[in-house]
Amino acid sequence: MSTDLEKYLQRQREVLDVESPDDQLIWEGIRTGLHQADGRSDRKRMLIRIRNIAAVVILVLSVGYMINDIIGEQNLGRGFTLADIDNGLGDREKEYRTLVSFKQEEAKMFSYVDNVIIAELLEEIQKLDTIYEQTMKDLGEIGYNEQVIQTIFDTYEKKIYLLELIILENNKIRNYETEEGLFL
Amino acid sequence: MEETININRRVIDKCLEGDIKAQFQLYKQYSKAMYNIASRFLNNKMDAEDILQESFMTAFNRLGELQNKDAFGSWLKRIVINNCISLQRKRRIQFEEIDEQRHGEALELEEGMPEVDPALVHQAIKELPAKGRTVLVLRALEGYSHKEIAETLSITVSTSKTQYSRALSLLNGKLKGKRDVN
Repeated sequence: MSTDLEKYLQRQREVLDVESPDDQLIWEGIRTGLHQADGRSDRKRMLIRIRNIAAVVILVLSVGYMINDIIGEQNLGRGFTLADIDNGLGDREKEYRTLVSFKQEEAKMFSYVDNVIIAELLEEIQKLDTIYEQTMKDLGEIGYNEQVIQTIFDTYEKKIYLLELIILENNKIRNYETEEGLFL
Repeated sequence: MEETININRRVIDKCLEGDIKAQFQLYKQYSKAMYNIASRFLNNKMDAEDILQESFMTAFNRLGELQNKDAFGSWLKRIVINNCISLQRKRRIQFEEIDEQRHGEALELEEGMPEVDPALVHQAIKELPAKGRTVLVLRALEGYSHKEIAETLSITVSTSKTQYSRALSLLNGKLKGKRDVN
Protein backbone atom coordinates (compact mmCIF):
# COMPACT_ATOMS: atom_id res chain seq x y z
CA MET A 1 0.00 0.00 0.00
CA SER A 2 1.49 3.29 -1.05
CA THR A 3 -0.11 6.39 0.49
CA ASP A 4 0.56 10.10 0.46
CA LEU A 5 1.89 9.84 4.00
CA GLU A 6 4.34 7.13 2.99
CA LYS A 7 5.54 9.24 0.07
CA TYR A 8 5.82 12.24 2.34
CA LEU A 9 7.94 10.30 4.87
CA GLN A 10 10.24 9.02 2.16
CA ARG A 11 10.58 12.46 0.60
CA GLN A 12 11.20 14.19 3.92
CA ARG A 13 13.49 11.46 5.36
CA GLU A 14 16.58 13.67 5.38
CA VAL A 15 14.96 16.60 7.19
CA LEU A 16 13.35 14.44 9.87
CA ASP A 17 16.62 14.26 11.82
CA VAL A 18 15.76 17.24 13.96
CA GLU A 19 17.30 16.28 17.30
CA SER A 20 20.95 16.75 18.27
CA PRO A 21 22.79 14.47 20.68
CA ASP A 22 24.91 15.73 23.55
CA ASP A 23 28.13 15.12 21.62
CA GLN A 24 30.50 16.09 24.42
CA LEU A 25 28.94 13.67 26.88
CA ILE A 26 28.58 10.79 24.44
CA TRP A 27 32.03 11.18 22.90
CA GLU A 28 33.59 11.23 26.35
CA GLY A 29 31.82 7.93 27.10
CA ILE A 30 33.05 6.40 23.84
CA ARG A 31 36.63 7.61 24.36
CA THR A 32 36.77 6.30 27.93
CA GLY A 33 35.20 2.99 26.89
CA LEU A 34 37.68 2.50 24.05
CA HIS A 35 40.62 3.40 26.29
CA GLN A 36 39.56 0.95 28.98
CA ALA A 37 38.99 -1.77 26.38
CA ASP A 38 42.55 -1.27 25.07
CA GLY A 39 44.04 -1.61 28.54
CA ARG A 40 42.00 -4.68 29.33
CA SER A 41 42.40 -6.42 26.00
CA ASP A 42 45.96 -7.80 26.49
CA ARG A 43 45.26 -9.22 29.92
CA LYS A 44 41.88 -10.47 28.82
CA ARG A 45 43.31 -12.13 25.73
CA MET A 46 45.90 -13.97 27.83
CA LEU A 47 43.24 -15.16 30.31
CA ILE A 48 40.96 -16.29 27.51
CA ARG A 49 43.85 -18.20 25.90
CA ILE A 50 44.68 -19.96 29.19
CA ARG A 51 41.01 -20.76 29.76
CA ASN A 52 40.66 -22.17 26.23
CA ILE A 53 43.73 -24.40 26.60
CA ALA A 54 42.43 -25.68 29.95
CA ALA A 55 39.01 -26.37 28.43
CA VAL A 56 40.55 -28.34 25.55
CA VAL A 57 42.69 -30.43 27.94
CA ILE A 58 39.67 -31.21 30.14
CA LEU A 59 37.55 -32.03 27.09
CA VAL A 60 40.17 -34.42 25.64
CA LEU A 61 40.56 -36.20 29.00
CA SER A 62 36.79 -36.41 29.47
CA VAL A 63 36.23 -37.69 25.95
CA GLY A 64 38.75 -40.48 26.40
CA TYR A 65 37.33 -41.42 29.78
CA MET A 66 33.69 -41.35 28.62
CA ILE A 67 34.26 -43.36 25.48
CA ASN A 68 36.19 -46.06 27.30
CA ASP A 69 34.00 -46.13 30.35
CA ILE A 70 30.57 -45.87 28.81
CA ILE A 71 30.73 -47.56 25.46
CA GLY A 72 33.79 -49.65 26.21
CA GLU A 73 33.37 -53.40 25.94
CA GLN A 74 34.51 -54.15 29.45
CA ASN A 75 31.22 -53.02 30.98
CA LEU A 76 29.36 -56.00 29.70
CA GLY A 77 30.72 -59.41 30.24
CA ARG A 78 32.39 -59.17 33.60
CA GLY A 79 31.93 -61.92 36.16
CA PHE A 80 28.63 -63.80 36.32
CA THR A 81 26.87 -64.60 33.02
CA LEU A 82 23.52 -66.12 32.05
CA ALA A 83 25.35 -69.19 30.71
CA ASP A 84 26.06 -70.01 34.35
CA ILE A 85 22.29 -70.59 34.76
CA ASP A 86 21.23 -72.05 31.43
CA ASN A 87 22.97 -72.76 28.08
CA GLY A 88 20.02 -71.45 26.03
CA LEU A 89 20.02 -68.19 27.96
CA GLY A 90 23.80 -68.09 27.58
CA ASP A 91 23.49 -68.39 23.77
CA ARG A 92 20.89 -65.62 23.66
CA GLU A 93 23.07 -63.40 25.80
CA LYS A 94 26.04 -64.13 23.54
CA GLU A 95 24.05 -62.93 20.52
CA TYR A 96 23.14 -59.72 22.31
CA ARG A 97 26.77 -59.19 23.34
CA THR A 98 28.01 -59.66 19.79
CA LEU A 99 25.47 -57.13 18.55
CA VAL A 100 26.30 -54.66 21.34
CA SER A 101 30.01 -55.05 20.64
CA PHE A 102 29.42 -54.44 16.92
CA LYS A 103 27.35 -51.30 17.60
CA GLN A 104 29.89 -50.05 20.13
CA GLU A 105 32.67 -50.24 17.58
CA GLU A 106 30.57 -48.32 15.08
CA ALA A 107 29.61 -45.68 17.66
CA LYS A 108 33.21 -45.31 18.83
CA MET A 109 34.49 -44.56 15.32
CA PHE A 110 33.07 -41.04 15.32
CA SER A 111 31.98 -39.92 18.72
CA TYR A 112 31.05 -36.28 19.01
CA VAL A 113 30.72 -36.38 22.80
CA ASP A 114 30.63 -32.59 22.97
CA ASN A 115 27.26 -32.82 21.23
CA VAL A 116 24.42 -32.39 23.73
CA ILE A 117 22.25 -35.19 22.34
CA ILE A 118 25.12 -37.69 22.27
CA ALA A 119 26.17 -36.69 25.78
CA GLU A 120 22.61 -37.40 26.97
CA LEU A 121 22.54 -40.75 25.20
CA LEU A 122 25.87 -41.70 26.78
CA GLU A 123 24.44 -40.81 30.15
CA GLU A 124 21.46 -43.09 29.50
CA ILE A 125 23.82 -45.93 28.56
CA GLN A 126 25.73 -45.35 31.76
CA LYS A 127 22.47 -45.71 33.72
CA LEU A 128 21.64 -48.92 31.84
CA ASP A 129 25.07 -50.34 32.67
CA THR A 130 24.44 -49.65 36.34
CA ILE A 131 21.06 -51.39 36.13
CA TYR A 132 22.69 -54.31 34.32
CA GLU A 133 25.45 -54.68 36.93
CA GLN A 134 22.90 -54.57 39.75
CA THR A 135 20.54 -57.04 38.05
CA MET A 136 23.36 -59.52 37.40
CA LYS A 137 24.38 -59.21 41.03
CA ASP A 138 20.79 -59.92 42.12
CA LEU A 139 20.61 -62.89 39.77
CA GLY A 140 23.83 -64.30 41.23
CA GLU A 141 22.32 -64.05 44.69
CA ILE A 142 18.73 -65.23 44.08
CA GLY A 143 19.36 -67.69 41.24
CA TYR A 144 16.99 -68.25 38.26
CA ASN A 145 14.21 -65.67 38.08
CA GLU A 146 12.15 -65.08 34.94
CA GLN A 147 11.52 -61.38 35.64
CA VAL A 148 15.15 -60.59 36.42
CA ILE A 149 16.31 -62.36 33.26
CA GLN A 150 13.77 -60.42 31.22
CA THR A 151 15.13 -57.17 32.74
CA ILE A 152 18.63 -58.16 31.61
CA PHE A 153 17.49 -58.76 28.03
CA ASP A 154 15.52 -55.49 28.10
CA THR A 155 18.71 -53.73 29.19
CA TYR A 156 20.58 -55.21 26.21
CA GLU A 157 17.84 -54.12 23.80
CA LYS A 158 17.72 -50.63 25.20
CA LYS A 159 21.50 -50.34 25.02
CA ILE A 160 21.47 -51.44 21.37
CA TYR A 161 18.74 -48.88 20.64
CA LEU A 162 20.72 -46.07 22.34
CA LEU A 163 23.89 -47.06 20.48
CA GLU A 164 21.96 -46.90 17.22
CA LEU A 165 20.76 -43.43 18.12
CA ILE A 166 24.37 -42.36 18.78
CA ILE A 167 25.45 -43.78 15.39
CA LEU A 168 22.56 -41.95 13.73
CA GLU A 169 23.44 -38.69 15.46
CA ASN A 170 27.13 -39.09 14.53
CA ASN A 171 26.13 -39.62 10.91
CA LYS A 172 23.90 -36.58 10.99
CA ILE A 173 26.73 -34.39 12.31
CA ARG A 174 29.18 -35.84 9.79
CA ASN A 175 26.78 -35.23 6.89
CA TYR A 176 26.16 -31.68 8.08
CA GLU A 177 29.90 -31.00 8.27
CA THR A 178 30.41 -32.40 4.78
CA GLU A 179 27.59 -30.26 3.38
CA GLU A 180 28.91 -27.21 5.18
CA GLY A 181 32.36 -27.90 3.74
CA LEU A 182 30.93 -27.87 0.26
CA PHE A 183 29.70 -24.32 0.71
CA LEU A 184 32.93 -22.97 2.22
CA MET B 1 30.46 12.03 -4.00
CA GLU B 2 33.58 10.11 -5.04
CA GLU B 3 35.65 12.50 -2.95
CA THR B 4 33.45 11.91 0.13
CA ILE B 5 33.89 8.16 -0.25
CA ASN B 6 37.67 8.53 -0.51
CA ILE B 7 37.76 10.77 2.58
CA ASN B 8 35.71 8.19 4.45
CA ARG B 9 38.07 5.40 3.43
CA ARG B 10 41.06 7.41 4.63
CA VAL B 11 39.33 8.22 7.92
CA ILE B 12 38.39 4.58 8.44
CA ASP B 13 41.97 3.48 7.71
CA LYS B 14 43.18 5.91 10.35
CA CYS B 15 40.54 4.65 12.80
CA LEU B 16 41.83 1.13 12.24
CA GLU B 17 45.25 2.38 13.34
CA GLY B 18 43.61 3.67 16.53
CA ASP B 19 43.75 7.36 15.59
CA ILE B 20 41.44 9.08 18.09
CA LYS B 21 41.02 12.21 15.94
CA ALA B 22 39.82 10.10 13.03
CA GLN B 23 37.42 8.30 15.33
CA PHE B 24 36.02 11.62 16.49
CA GLN B 25 35.69 12.78 12.89
CA LEU B 26 33.71 9.67 12.03
CA TYR B 27 31.59 10.11 15.16
CA LYS B 28 30.75 13.73 14.26
CA GLN B 29 29.86 12.75 10.72
CA TYR B 30 27.28 10.15 11.75
CA SER B 31 26.23 10.95 15.32
CA LYS B 32 23.22 13.13 14.54
CA ALA B 33 21.64 10.75 12.03
CA MET B 34 22.23 7.75 14.27
CA TYR B 35 20.94 9.54 17.33
CA ASN B 36 17.71 10.45 15.55
CA ILE B 37 17.20 6.85 14.45
CA ALA B 38 17.67 5.65 18.04
CA SER B 39 15.46 8.43 19.36
CA ARG B 40 12.61 7.50 17.00
CA PHE B 41 12.91 3.83 17.97
CA LEU B 42 13.11 4.33 21.70
CA ASN B 43 11.39 7.66 22.38
CA ASN B 44 13.73 8.24 25.29
CA LYS B 45 16.68 10.66 25.31
CA MET B 46 18.86 8.71 27.73
CA ASP B 47 18.23 5.36 26.03
CA ALA B 48 19.03 6.90 22.64
CA GLU B 49 22.29 8.36 24.00
CA ASP B 50 23.26 5.01 25.53
CA ILE B 51 22.55 3.23 22.25
CA LEU B 52 24.56 5.81 20.32
CA GLN B 53 27.56 5.38 22.63
CA GLU B 54 27.32 1.58 22.63
CA SER B 55 26.93 1.42 18.86
CA PHE B 56 29.94 3.61 18.12
CA MET B 57 32.05 1.58 20.55
CA THR B 58 30.94 -1.64 18.83
CA ALA B 59 31.69 -0.10 15.43
CA PHE B 60 35.19 1.06 16.42
CA ASN B 61 36.00 -2.24 18.09
CA ARG B 62 34.80 -4.28 15.11
CA LEU B 63 35.90 -1.96 12.33
CA GLY B 64 38.39 -4.56 11.11
CA GLU B 65 35.46 -6.83 10.23
CA LEU B 66 33.96 -4.26 7.85
CA GLN B 67 34.57 -5.61 4.35
CA ASN B 68 33.40 -2.62 2.34
CA LYS B 69 34.66 0.64 3.84
CA ASP B 70 32.31 2.63 1.63
CA ALA B 71 29.37 1.01 3.41
CA PHE B 72 30.37 2.25 6.87
CA GLY B 73 27.21 4.36 7.23
CA SER B 74 24.76 1.56 6.50
CA TRP B 75 26.85 -0.86 8.61
CA LEU B 76 26.71 1.55 11.55
CA LYS B 77 22.99 2.06 11.01
CA ARG B 78 22.46 -1.72 11.22
CA ILE B 79 24.35 -1.79 14.51
CA VAL B 80 22.22 1.06 15.89
CA ILE B 81 18.96 -0.55 14.75
CA ASN B 82 19.94 -3.97 16.11
CA ASN B 83 20.90 -2.42 19.44
CA CYS B 84 17.57 -0.57 19.61
CA ILE B 85 15.60 -3.75 18.88
CA SER B 86 17.68 -5.66 21.38
CA LEU B 87 16.93 -3.04 24.04
CA GLN B 88 13.22 -3.17 23.19
CA ARG B 89 13.31 -6.94 23.61
CA LYS B 90 14.99 -6.53 26.99
CA ARG B 91 12.18 -4.16 27.91
CA ARG B 92 9.86 -7.02 26.94
CA ILE B 93 8.22 -5.28 24.02
CA GLN B 94 6.74 -8.25 22.18
CA PHE B 95 6.21 -7.98 18.45
CA GLU B 96 3.41 -10.52 18.63
CA GLU B 97 1.26 -11.76 15.80
CA ILE B 98 -1.83 -9.73 14.95
CA ASP B 99 -5.10 -10.91 13.49
CA GLU B 100 -5.30 -8.91 10.27
CA GLN B 101 -9.09 -9.09 10.11
CA ARG B 102 -9.45 -7.80 13.65
CA HIS B 103 -7.51 -4.65 12.83
CA GLY B 104 -8.78 -4.22 9.30
CA GLU B 105 -10.79 -1.19 10.25
CA ALA B 106 -7.64 0.75 11.07
CA LEU B 107 -6.22 0.50 7.57
CA GLU B 108 -8.06 3.41 5.98
CA LEU B 109 -5.90 6.46 5.52
CA GLU B 110 -6.79 10.02 4.91
CA GLU B 111 -6.02 11.12 1.38
CA GLY B 112 -3.89 14.18 0.66
CA MET B 113 -0.85 15.09 2.70
CA PRO B 114 -0.03 18.78 3.01
CA GLU B 115 3.49 19.79 4.01
CA VAL B 116 4.03 19.51 7.77
CA ASP B 117 6.89 20.73 9.94
CA PRO B 118 9.42 17.83 10.07
CA ALA B 119 9.84 18.39 13.83
CA LEU B 120 6.13 17.67 14.28
CA VAL B 121 6.38 14.51 12.19
CA HIS B 122 9.44 13.36 14.14
CA GLN B 123 7.60 13.95 17.42
CA ALA B 124 4.42 12.26 16.19
CA ILE B 125 6.41 9.16 15.17
CA LYS B 126 7.98 9.01 18.65
CA GLU B 127 4.53 9.13 20.22
CA LEU B 128 3.31 6.03 18.35
CA PRO B 129 2.99 2.73 20.25
CA ALA B 130 6.39 0.97 20.38
CA LYS B 131 5.55 -2.02 18.18
CA GLY B 132 3.98 -0.09 15.34
CA ARG B 133 6.59 2.64 15.62
CA THR B 134 9.40 0.11 15.15
CA VAL B 135 7.82 -1.35 12.03
CA LEU B 136 7.01 2.09 10.63
CA VAL B 137 10.53 3.41 11.19
CA LEU B 138 12.09 0.32 9.64
CA ARG B 139 9.80 0.35 6.62
CA ALA B 140 9.08 3.99 5.81
CA LEU B 141 12.32 5.61 6.97
CA GLU B 142 15.01 2.95 6.83
CA GLY B 143 13.83 1.20 3.68
CA TYR B 144 13.46 -2.33 5.07
CA SER B 145 11.17 -4.68 3.14
CA HIS B 146 8.39 -6.42 5.07
CA LYS B 147 10.34 -9.66 4.68
CA GLU B 148 13.42 -8.08 6.31
CA ILE B 149 11.28 -6.62 9.10
CA ALA B 150 9.66 -10.00 9.70
CA GLU B 151 13.08 -11.64 9.98
CA THR B 152 14.50 -8.90 12.20
CA LEU B 153 11.57 -8.87 14.62
CA SER B 154 10.73 -12.59 14.39
CA ILE B 155 7.19 -11.96 13.18
CA THR B 156 5.34 -12.90 10.00
CA VAL B 157 5.28 -10.72 6.89
CA SER B 158 1.53 -10.39 7.36
CA THR B 159 1.96 -9.06 10.91
CA SER B 160 4.58 -6.61 9.69
CA LYS B 161 2.19 -5.30 7.04
CA THR B 162 -0.67 -5.00 9.53
CA GLN B 163 1.45 -3.25 12.15
CA TYR B 164 2.72 -0.91 9.47
CA SER B 165 -0.76 0.00 8.22
CA ARG B 166 -1.95 0.61 11.76
CA ALA B 167 1.04 2.78 12.56
CA LEU B 168 0.58 4.80 9.35
CA SER B 169 -3.08 5.27 10.18
CA LEU B 170 -2.29 6.37 13.73
CA LEU B 171 0.43 8.71 12.51
CA ASN B 172 -1.99 10.20 10.01
CA GLY B 173 -4.46 10.91 12.82
CA LYS B 174 -1.78 12.41 15.05
CA LEU B 175 -0.52 14.70 12.30
CA LYS B 176 -4.05 15.80 11.55
CA GLY B 177 -4.53 16.62 15.24
CA LYS B 178 -1.27 18.54 15.38
CA ARG B 179 -2.14 20.49 12.22
CA ASP B 180 -5.54 21.40 13.65
CA VAL B 181 -3.92 22.63 16.89
CA ASN B 182 -1.32 24.72 15.06
